[in-house]
Amino acid sequence: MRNPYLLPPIAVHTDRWSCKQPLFEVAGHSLIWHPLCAIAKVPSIREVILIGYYDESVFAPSIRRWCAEFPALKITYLREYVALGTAGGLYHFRDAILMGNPKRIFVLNSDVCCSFPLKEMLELFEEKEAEAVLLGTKVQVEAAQRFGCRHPPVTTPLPVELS
Amino acid sequence: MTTTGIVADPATAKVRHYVEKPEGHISNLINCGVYLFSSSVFSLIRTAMDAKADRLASDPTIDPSDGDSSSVLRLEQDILGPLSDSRRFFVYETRDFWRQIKTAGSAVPANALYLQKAWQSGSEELAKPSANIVTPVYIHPTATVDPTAKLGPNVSIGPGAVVGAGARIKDSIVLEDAEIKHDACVLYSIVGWNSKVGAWSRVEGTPMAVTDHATTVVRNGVKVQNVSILSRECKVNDEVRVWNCVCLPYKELKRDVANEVIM
Repeated sequence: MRNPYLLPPIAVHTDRWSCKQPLFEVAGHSLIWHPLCAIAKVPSIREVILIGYYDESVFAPSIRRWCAEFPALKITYLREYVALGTAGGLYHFRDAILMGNPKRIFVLNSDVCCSFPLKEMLELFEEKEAEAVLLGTKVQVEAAQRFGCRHPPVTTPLPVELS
Repeated sequence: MTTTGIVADPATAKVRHYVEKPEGHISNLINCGVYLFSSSVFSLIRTAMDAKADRLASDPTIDPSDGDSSSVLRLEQDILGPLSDSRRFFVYETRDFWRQIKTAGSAVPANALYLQKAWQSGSEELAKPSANIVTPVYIHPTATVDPTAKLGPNVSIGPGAVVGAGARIKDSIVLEDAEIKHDACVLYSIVGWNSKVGAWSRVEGTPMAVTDHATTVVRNGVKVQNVSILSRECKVNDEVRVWNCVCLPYKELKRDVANEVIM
């Protein structure tokens, strides 16, 4: 279970902002610093690979700063020239990701704001001898509809019986 | 990434059923976009890639020039769905906060959530509470805030920003080198780099419940952002009210505006 790798930014949408979204600052730090900080608290993570469409020069100054702030992590940026989707991008960079034979790989989208309970995910992974663990959260029914569930539960019965 | 329904066994946390963009209500457990895989995931991706190549080759209606190829694979549709059928695929359900940052406007709730987290964990970076600081508030060391200005909760003031006497700021982000003049009011908004908010002006959005994941509100039948955003180097003149507006860079606002995108 040595050095799981991790790849944040895949998500880059419109550039209406004159700042690259992952570098936009909230609570005094860039959006991408918050997951990095959570990553740095998990000792078994050794390396972070950022994947995105931005030019390398966009992240270079920030990466230098993060390397100084989180000396235990090796942080690099890989540029995707074609949009391959998250899984396609992972596969494209598989040699770089698998260098050093990581047993586990965290994959984080850069457009997420949460407390990143990575340790808990690792524990569940160990306990269940899992192949994949996904972070889920319950949202209110009205909000669930925003995320694609279009009808309230009364109109359609649950298709799967639990337990 | 979040348009999903996950059905997990409550006892074992094992994913029983994973659906992308379900037609009906399946579950209010949604995918947060954070994953942990064993390195065997690459062989799964390879399998999905081969399956997609077969599908594309056998379907004459697909135009190969439209950019879809077997190397374009989405984690959600192409990998997680098949995983839930047979594999050891589990979900860790977080009860802590979670938001997706889809638009610039969602930076306002993200700012609030990260500030609250920093406050709860006793971060030294935050401003100390006082009569005029309602925590949590972050003020960059190079920013200048008049002691009579009232800030917070959920306010970040960026490097070099200036906040004048008697100003009121709440649930907002003030970016680098922006200036909020005396007695101005900024609520549920983002004030962009080098922007200026004039004296006695108001820049406002609409308060939203934390549990509501919407980033828009409907006003007079028109969908507008629920926050106000001043982009880079915008100027709001004195005594002007800006309400639920997105103001593109380098604009000057001389009169009151509401529910507009100012280009």
